[in-house]
Amino acid sequence: MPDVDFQKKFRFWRAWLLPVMVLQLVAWYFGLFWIGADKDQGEVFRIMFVHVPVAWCAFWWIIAAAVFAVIGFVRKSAFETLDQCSHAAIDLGTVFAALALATGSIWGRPTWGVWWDWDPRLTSTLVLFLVCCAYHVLRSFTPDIQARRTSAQIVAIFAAVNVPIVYYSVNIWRSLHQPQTFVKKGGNASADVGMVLLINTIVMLLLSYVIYRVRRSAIDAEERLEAVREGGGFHG
Amino acid sequence: MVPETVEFEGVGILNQLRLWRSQCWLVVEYSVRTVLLRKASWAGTLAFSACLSILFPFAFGTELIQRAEIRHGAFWAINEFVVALSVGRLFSVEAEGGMLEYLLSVQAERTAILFGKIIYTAAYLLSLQIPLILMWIIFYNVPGAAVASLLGRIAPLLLLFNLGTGTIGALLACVTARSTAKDILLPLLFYPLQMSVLLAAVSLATMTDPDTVMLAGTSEQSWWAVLGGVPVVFLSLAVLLGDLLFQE
Repeated sequence: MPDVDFQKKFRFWRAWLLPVMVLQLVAWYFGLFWIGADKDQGEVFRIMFVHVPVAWCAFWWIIAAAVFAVIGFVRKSAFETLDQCSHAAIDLGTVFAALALATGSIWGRPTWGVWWDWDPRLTSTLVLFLVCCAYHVLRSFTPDIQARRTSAQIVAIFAAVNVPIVYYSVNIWRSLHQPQTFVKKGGNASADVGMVLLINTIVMLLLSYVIYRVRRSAIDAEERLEAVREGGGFHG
Repeated sequence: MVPETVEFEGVGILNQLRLWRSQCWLVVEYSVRTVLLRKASWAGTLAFSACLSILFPFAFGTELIQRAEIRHGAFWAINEFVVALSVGRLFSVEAEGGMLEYLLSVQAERTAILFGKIIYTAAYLLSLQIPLILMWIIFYNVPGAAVASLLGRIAPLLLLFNLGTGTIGALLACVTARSTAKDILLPLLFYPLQMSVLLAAVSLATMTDPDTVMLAGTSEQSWWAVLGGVPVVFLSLAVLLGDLLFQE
């Protein structure tokens, strides 16, 4: 008997994808077209309105994955559900980390003259991305479902340990990368740029949350299918 | 006057700590004894590191072999190969002796077993690094006048490097124990997490060598903080996750 509640939730969150994507396009319009060019970097700086929100989303979802993992170890009754939450969160963290590296590289080419520099922020972000990739490889290569859940959640906690290193890398080591944007008032961005950046970050987080809910439903469906196949009840 | 119940609890905690310490030491002891009895693994890893010491610089071209710039890099790169082999064989003592299931079923504190393995790994790495340093001094023409100061600097670096590496390696060896592709997974997980320890060790070693170009930028304090902080963070995780890592 199909789980009606599960299908309703999936359709509900999938329906929200389009409106939130439209909201994201509006937010990008403000950043990529509406706001004036930077006096030093010119039009190139506009990629900041994509790169910074994407980087924040990567940090957020990797930390969220670790939080789900810790709660899963504490609340054993919800272990499977929280593992699915952690899995979906790391999926998003991986994608956003890759996008942060890509958009950062696109921004770096005209400003620094190179596609890649072994700068502390870039290097530590690459390390974070590699740990997230290793998470997925671990899940693929662990046949026992319970061992898979436990090992994967431990690796999610290890991945989150890297997030403060990435964030504070510009403070600890000398870096080409600019320092944090919102830390000092009037520090690195004017008020209008800061506002548009904040709006883009919030909308990107909202979009990522909707994608997370859809992805979590997909993971739930995959695990149900796997369970049916192992139980011998599935006939393709 | 201290109530008897508080005194009794205090003695209980001390006894538990003593028991934990003896369990931890037992793991170190039997691991070390097994290596001493069957020296093939240790000798094989040493021979491998000797081969690398000779062959590694050829990858940079014959002109660079005499240069001081690759001296430190070569040492730590060869170290990384030694580390990979050592971490990959962390539970080989138990696996080859048919004791793995016994280890999991014994009534000992899981964190004691884990800490025992961490200490053993750090000591095992050091036992390989001592002859490696001698080969390095000879093959890479380390000036005689600089040997004492370099060794004085590298010794504490190696201790912290081995502790950080051993901690990360032990945790990940447990995490990947039930996976089907451990030989791929363990390096894939291990190297990104261990990278900060490696960077800190290389940077601090290079800073004191008068023959190398001074790296522009990062302070010594930052690197010492990284080298000391990583073992603290991962040892804390080992305490918190010890029971989960050793599930039967």
